[in-house]
Amino acid sequence: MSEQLVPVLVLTAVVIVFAAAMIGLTFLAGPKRKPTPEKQLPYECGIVGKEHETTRFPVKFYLTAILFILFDIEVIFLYPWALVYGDLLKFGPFILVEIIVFMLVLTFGLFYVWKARALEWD
Amino acid sequence: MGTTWLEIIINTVKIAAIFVIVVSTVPLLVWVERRGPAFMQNRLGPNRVGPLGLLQLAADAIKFIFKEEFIPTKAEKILYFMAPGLTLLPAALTFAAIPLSTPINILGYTFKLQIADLNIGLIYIFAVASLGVYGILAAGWSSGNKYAMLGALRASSQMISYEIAMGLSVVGVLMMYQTFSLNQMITEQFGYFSFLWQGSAVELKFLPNWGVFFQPLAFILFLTATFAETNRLPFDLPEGEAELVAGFHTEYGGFKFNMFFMGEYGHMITSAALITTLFFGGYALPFISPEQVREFWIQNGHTLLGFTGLSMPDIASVLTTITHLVVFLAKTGFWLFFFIWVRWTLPRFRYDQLMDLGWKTLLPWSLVNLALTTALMYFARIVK
Amino acid sequence: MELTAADILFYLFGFVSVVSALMVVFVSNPIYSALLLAVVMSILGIFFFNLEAHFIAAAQVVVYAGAVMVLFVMVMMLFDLKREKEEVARFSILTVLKIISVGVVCGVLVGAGAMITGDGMGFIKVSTTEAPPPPSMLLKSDINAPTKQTTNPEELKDEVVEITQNPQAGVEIFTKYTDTQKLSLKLFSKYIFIFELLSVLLLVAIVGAVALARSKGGTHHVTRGS
Repeated sequence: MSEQLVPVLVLTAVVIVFAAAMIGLTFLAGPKRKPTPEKQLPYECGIVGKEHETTRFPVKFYLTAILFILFDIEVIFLYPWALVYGDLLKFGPFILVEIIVFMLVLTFGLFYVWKARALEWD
Repeated sequence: MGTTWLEIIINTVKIAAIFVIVVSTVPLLVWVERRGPAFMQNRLGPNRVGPLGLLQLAADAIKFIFKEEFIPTKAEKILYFMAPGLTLLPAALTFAAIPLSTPINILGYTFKLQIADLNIGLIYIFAVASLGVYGILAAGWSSGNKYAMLGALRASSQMISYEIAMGLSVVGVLMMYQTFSLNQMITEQFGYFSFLWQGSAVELKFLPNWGVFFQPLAFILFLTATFAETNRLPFDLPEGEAELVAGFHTEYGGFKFNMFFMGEYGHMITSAALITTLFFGGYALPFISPEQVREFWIQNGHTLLGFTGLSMPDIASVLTTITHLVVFLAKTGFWLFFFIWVRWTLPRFRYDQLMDLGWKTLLPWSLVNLALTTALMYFARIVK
Repeated sequence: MELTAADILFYLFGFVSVVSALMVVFVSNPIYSALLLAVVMSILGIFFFNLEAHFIAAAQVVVYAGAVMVLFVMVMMLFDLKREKEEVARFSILTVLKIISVGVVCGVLVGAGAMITGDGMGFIKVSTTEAPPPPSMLLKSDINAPTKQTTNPEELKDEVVEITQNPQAGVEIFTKYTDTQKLSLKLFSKYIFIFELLSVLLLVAIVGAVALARSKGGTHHVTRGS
């Protein structure tokens, strides 16, 4: 069954070759001009930007990424459950109870995050 | 990839061909994106270059190749060159698992019109799609421009927020079909709308057996989430023209810039294909299963392909595949047009509205969909 | 020796992952380190696929390479890391000695563990009578130990009884199950307590993340009037 992955790797090779060929083509075909200092400054709508002291980035990005990890793990756990739920219902409501407990805990987590205003962006 | 050398060669050529076709569809999509909405907005799009302006995109592509290559002084060179490739790779890899048509049986060989028939098809698509964030981050950071970096962070935060909604909205579909394999899901969508309710089979003859009729809420949520995943309007603030210039690809020009757009359109093509596969029956016709199509072609196929001298089952198989490929392209084409239509109709969301939509609207409604599907399936399986 | 696709994948990606992992340690720019670590995580996904654990392969890529490493890379890009870059780039014999000693300690621990468990954990041979198993088959027996690869209803009955207490209804379903579904069978019967405990663990992580980001005026509105 591992041979299912081989076409994916062939496709990866094809894409890499294509991208490299295109970049090589541009490199060969494009005009080669001397870079002037104005052309190489970082673009800031035409203004000359000042050298930055350490830019401070908001913590919202970090929080979004961490919450994404946790809810992503929850979704990953839901996938194997979804595959067997229909069949295992034959043996009683146990599978339903299991997932209700799991989802209640995590829905409470979402509710907490919402109320704690960690999802605010402005 | 096949056991004999002929099979291996044909499969390799098939992979390269499908990839090249997807890449070539991108200019076509851009043409539709410029001409179609032009009519919506009561103006003409590009109509000078070639018939109906079709060669405009070829002209643009050639122009891109001849642009000057420059690298900003503050850029990190290795990542700067790799970032467009890093964006193109996941977009191409996600298309690998999507079945384009029924398998062909020719001369004793069977070829699937699908790059990789993975038994974890759907979750593989999510896995590779989540790797698309790296290209954006790499592009933004390696540009050496703090506004590009900020744009990249916003774009990647948007993408990861909507990935959860996307993953969660599909759980209902998975519960119904009980498989990750996309081929299997299409097989379960043949024929008429039917299900088991408490032991007795219910069949409605006026609806096809498509996923959208079983999971309408999941369909709407998934559609919205894919709009946001592919950074399409109304969710395209990270690359919006009036905001941070061009977001994470500010410092890119020439073909590298084009590759970002190829990645975005490739992602769009995969999303449209995924919507048709999950919710609209994939390559199958609405009420007719491929077996019936094959029967039809066994009766009538010799008129079309009799000259090639292949045996009857082979001709029927080829014609069935072509029929289903046309159906698949029609459905996917409709959803691609829908993507473009929405882009030119709705105004852009503000960033905090966007994030609110992802976390506070789509995520709770996905949970509601999950709860509803769970309850319905529980009551459906109780046999008195 | 017959070279299957699994073997080729293993050797090729084994080489790439080892090189990437070494580069994680030795490259001076921390962001390249993080990106290379993401590459290693994706290749681990390929290894899992090779070992016929398809769902775990996809889960590895989704969670590790697609979420955790994205967090790492994002956070690294937020900081100004010039000083760390220079420190790592400076070659000193002390760094090399540190790395070598860590490697030696790890090797000693692994060897001691192999001696204690007696059977050498499958890759340190204690007896020399049989050839070592091919690398791609290394852990296959462990992964498949929970459910037998059989379609014989008689053999499957023990497995099914353990799971459901109702072998009759179960056997014809379970013979057609893919390995993801077999994994979930085990997850929701034998290991259900761990599963529920995991939800609590995730909740703890959520609360902890919010608490961490809030300190010193992280998310706005909080420091005013609270």
